Amino acid sequence: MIAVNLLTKNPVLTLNGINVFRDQFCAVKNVNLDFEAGELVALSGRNGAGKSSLLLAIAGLTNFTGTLKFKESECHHGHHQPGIGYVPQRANLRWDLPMRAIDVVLTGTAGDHHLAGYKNKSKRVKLAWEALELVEGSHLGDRLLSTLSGGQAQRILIARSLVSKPEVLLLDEPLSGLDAPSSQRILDLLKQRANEGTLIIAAMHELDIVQGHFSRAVLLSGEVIADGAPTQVIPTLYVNPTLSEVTV
Amino acid sequence: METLEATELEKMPVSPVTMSHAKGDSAVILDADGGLGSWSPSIGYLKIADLDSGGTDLSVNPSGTVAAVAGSDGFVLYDLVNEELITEHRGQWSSSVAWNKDGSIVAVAFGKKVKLYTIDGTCIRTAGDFASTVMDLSWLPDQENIAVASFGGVSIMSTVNDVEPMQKEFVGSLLCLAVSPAADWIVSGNQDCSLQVFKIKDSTRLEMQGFPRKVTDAQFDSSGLWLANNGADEVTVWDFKGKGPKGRAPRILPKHVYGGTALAWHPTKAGVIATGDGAGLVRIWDVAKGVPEKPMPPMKRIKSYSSSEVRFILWDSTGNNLVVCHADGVIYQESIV
Repeated sequence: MIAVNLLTKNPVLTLNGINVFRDQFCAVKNVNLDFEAGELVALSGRNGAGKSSLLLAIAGLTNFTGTLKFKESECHHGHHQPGIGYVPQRANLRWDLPMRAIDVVLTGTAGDHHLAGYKNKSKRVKLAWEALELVEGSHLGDRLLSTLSGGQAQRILIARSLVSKPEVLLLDEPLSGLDAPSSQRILDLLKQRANEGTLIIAAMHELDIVQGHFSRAVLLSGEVIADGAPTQVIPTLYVNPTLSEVTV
Repeated sequence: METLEATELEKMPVSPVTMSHAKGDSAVILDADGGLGSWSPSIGYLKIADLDSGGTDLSVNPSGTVAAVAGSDGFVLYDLVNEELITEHRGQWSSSVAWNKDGSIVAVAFGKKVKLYTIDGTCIRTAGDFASTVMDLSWLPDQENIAVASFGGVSIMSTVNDVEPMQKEFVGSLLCLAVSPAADWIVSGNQDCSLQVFKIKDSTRLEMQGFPRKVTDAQFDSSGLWLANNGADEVTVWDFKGKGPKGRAPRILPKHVYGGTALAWHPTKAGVIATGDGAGLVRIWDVAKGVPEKPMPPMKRIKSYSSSEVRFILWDSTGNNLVVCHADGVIYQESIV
């Protein structure tokens, strides 16, 4: 494994000996990583490398073994960890449901028991609109999902994850299918959140963007094969190019 | 290696988007404002029309008389001989246009759909409801099927029958398409910095992941034996002889500053390609003379008249001349004899 000058002092997230399982299959094994607040981290690697699986494990949404700590709290499969937000792949969601954008953002408050109950409804709505404001999406709140562009939909998903004011934000391919201006807008938003202290971890295919905008890259191929500054780690992928057969 | 002298030098007022052959030795150029212009060695650049469509793609019919123009505000058919509009369809993003071989039908990507128009502007078919905006389309050599690139892979749709399109799945956003002349391979360049290679007759898929940049251009040469793509500081050329490129190391055309921004295979000589880069350099290579994996030297280097990105290179039909178009609007022709 390539590791480049990474000394993590006060990790907000610690992964020790993590093996992630999808059904019975071990998608990624023996992951040992520390992440600090304010880092903008890209998980890269080809399809099936384990990027999405690792994000799901950190979010508590798939089975794993090993020790995963958010600050001092140990995380477990099936238990939502307050403070960790997760943005799934946009393409995996149903966008034809008859819901408004603000309704989607509101579902981001569902896991917070402090906001549960009828008497907190106005507070939840206020937080949802504030989250929309953070992604410059206030004007989209009353729009039906089916009328949103790809970039607008992505901002709605990010707003949903920001409602709970997470210290760790996980995103699965946030730029997939977006045009250049929409991508830039999402990147600016992520950088702004990182500058304000949020740990951002995103599964990313766009290696040029990783090199240009991210502070750290972790390369996966069933396990961690490299970890470090993107400008040093990413070029190791482009060595002896060959076309290999993909087995589905 | 020899250095050649430019025979013409002209500067367009607006940055060019793409260029296509027209009648005789002239070319038609689409600019970023949706303006249509012509260029020829004898006359230079002349603005023809302001289509105000936000140009994204251009295709001129084989006889060079009608331009199909795609843009952010729709699609336009323009008569280049009489210099008049044939038809326009506004209000929707159109990313790609392509005439069939005999020039009877033009395929137009309209949002998530593909529409077919006759040369007089009549829409004869609307097909598809693809997963995302269609990014590129290309006629197959049989002139009955079209390969369509959108999120999730390539669809091969019939233009004559109402049958389900054949799917070549790949989870990702496709940026460009290339179909081999024998219609045995389809290749896509992708936003995830990969090249995907699909065999049309079966489910074989090859891929190269890990290009440092997005792969925005991939092209087969006239023989179908070579495929070139950008995505790195070198242009990569894959050998499709025999059973295909699986496991074979590619030819490497090195030292493209900011990547290969323009690729153009010679119209008749297999394996001869002109490439341009982000620093305005244009070189000609004979890839058959290269050795797999080893960076090879160019056959010729073109004298550059601009240090801005090479936006487009066009060979004339004889293969004796090259028209080079830079992002800053500088355009000139080189004799390659």
